[in-house]
Amino acid sequence: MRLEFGLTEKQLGDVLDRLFGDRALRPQDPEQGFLAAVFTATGATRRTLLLGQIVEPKAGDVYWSRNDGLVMTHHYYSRALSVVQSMPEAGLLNVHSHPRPRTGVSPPRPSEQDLGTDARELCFVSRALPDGRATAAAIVTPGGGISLREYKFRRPCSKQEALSREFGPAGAKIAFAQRVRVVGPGLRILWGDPSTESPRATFNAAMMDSSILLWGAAGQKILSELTIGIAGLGGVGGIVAEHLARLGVGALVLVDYDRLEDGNFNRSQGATRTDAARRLPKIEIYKRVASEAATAPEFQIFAHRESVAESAGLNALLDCDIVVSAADDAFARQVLDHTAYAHLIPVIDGGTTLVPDSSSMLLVAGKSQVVAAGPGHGCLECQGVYTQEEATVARESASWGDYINAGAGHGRKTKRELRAPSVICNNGLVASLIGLRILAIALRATPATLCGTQRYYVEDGTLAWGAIKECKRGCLKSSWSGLGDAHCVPVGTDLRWKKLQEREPDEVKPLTKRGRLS
Amino acid sequence: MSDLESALPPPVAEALAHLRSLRDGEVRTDAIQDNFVYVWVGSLTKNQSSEEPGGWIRLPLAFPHANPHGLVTREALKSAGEGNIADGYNAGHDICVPVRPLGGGHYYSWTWENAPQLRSPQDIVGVVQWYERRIRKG
Repeated sequence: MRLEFGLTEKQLGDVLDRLFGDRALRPQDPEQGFLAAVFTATGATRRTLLLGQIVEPKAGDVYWSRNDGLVMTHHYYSRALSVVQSMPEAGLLNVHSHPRPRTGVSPPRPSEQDLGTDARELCFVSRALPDGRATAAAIVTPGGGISLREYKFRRPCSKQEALSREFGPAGAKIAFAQRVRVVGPGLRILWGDPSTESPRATFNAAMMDSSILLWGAAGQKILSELTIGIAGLGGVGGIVAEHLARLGVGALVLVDYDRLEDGNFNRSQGATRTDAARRLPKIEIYKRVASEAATAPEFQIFAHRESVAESAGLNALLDCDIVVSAADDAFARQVLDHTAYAHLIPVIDGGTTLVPDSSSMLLVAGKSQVVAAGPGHGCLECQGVYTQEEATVARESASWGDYINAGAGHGRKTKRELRAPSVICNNGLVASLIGLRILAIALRATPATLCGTQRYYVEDGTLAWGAIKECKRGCLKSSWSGLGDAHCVPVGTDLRWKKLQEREPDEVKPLTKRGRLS
Repeated sequence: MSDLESALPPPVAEALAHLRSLRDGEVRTDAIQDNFVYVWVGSLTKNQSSEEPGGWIRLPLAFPHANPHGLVTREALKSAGEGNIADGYNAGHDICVPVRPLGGGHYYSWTWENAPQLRSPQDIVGVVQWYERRIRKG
């Protein structure tokens, strides 16, 4: 499982200020440092250590010694240990500064002295913490270069083992975080492993020249290194998958459980009539569409026939740098809203509501909207994308019809009224706005479009920004920022997916040798 | 702790522990079905003194991030005035199935709309009080 390090932009600003700015405790010393809680966020193939609360050093806790280098006292370690022991699943991170290089973000290399001191101190820490908690050390340079290494020690079960070399600091297994993700409101991904070179850019310059004219080779390299998840491959998600593949994104993770049917064929861009007749799972169709559209030479695509509201589907998305929420379901949206903060993965949600008057062919009202959530953004709930009651109802039954039959919400709408209108043109608009928001977040091409709710009002054709750009007072989501696995993301059983699995055997209608339906 | 309770997400387990310490030490988990846990609150008060107290509150496994939905009782609830409570009443509904062996047979599909926003596991005490107010309202 590959290792990464994650922190918010706000935290990085605070760290730089403590190590190199006004908040340095002993600015005359060549190096500064502090201890902090660290949380683990686990996906299917990626583990990320996330920076938690910094344990404030007091005068004398951290100092520079000519012989020993940077010293963090035992008293400071004891205090930090008691802080992290009180936090569920928290480990301990030792952070210190290197004064050079003054500029650039190349990952700093630990000295022999760093490696020896950190192993000794963290071995002692790991024995004091419950099993499974992370112990790590990070180095930061003035330009914002960061390297982090995790230390794993064997836990002794006897006095003899405790005294033996392989259970002590010398037996430490050290792994560098490959990448560092700085999240919110934008996203910066830095190479984190000083023991290896940053991978070379992999993009086809001839194929991408029109985009490179806009954001340069550096921008294209950023896109080629992104992994983006798409939850829901309906009218919006399917188009987003193709757009992102053409933009040169390096990897896509698709999560959807539905099949293509005649009823949604008219807005499934890239799907064929044969796909609809065969009732293929949408993930298969969009895996094909995106693979054929991909411009990144080493493009990878992972498709999971799962619900994002369940732990298996969510787990696949926890490997992503950005997630697109296109599931059109309050349960899934709530799960992704929590994930955006706890796991530091920006989520971009998009959807359309149309209110027709079928007798006059007029659209009475309607809006398409795109919203970003995660650190540095307001959450989806505060921006009005879903309510807690809607998320509860979505957990309650396999469909709105079942919900009504269960005696709740009676008299609101008939089953026919519950069929929402949907048009590919609106879906395409939302997909394009999602793509542009991803470019804003990843490339910072248009900083003014990073945050908030962007709405297209159908009745008068205007595009406008909503007033809410941050969470409402009393919202707790930002307090879950960076808690990783320690925050209980409210996944559950997606009853629609469960019903679908029960109702029909998981098989695709076969084709004849001539490629026709049998 | 029962096998059922050991499977509960930490915030729900914390809520039940809080409810036991502050309100009713006999609170128990009787069933888990499709994202909801059936929590027996034996001290749940009703309108008439002739009615035996108690009922199953359907608490979401995602509590406090999702709202409680519905109450299951052994007997039909009497209103404060005359007759039984009719609002949201479903006799013998499928929702009762998980606690039917324990006598559950009357389902009130009361949703959490227009109720206080839930934020922490400690809000569980307010949930029980809300159901008691809902019973009084009829």
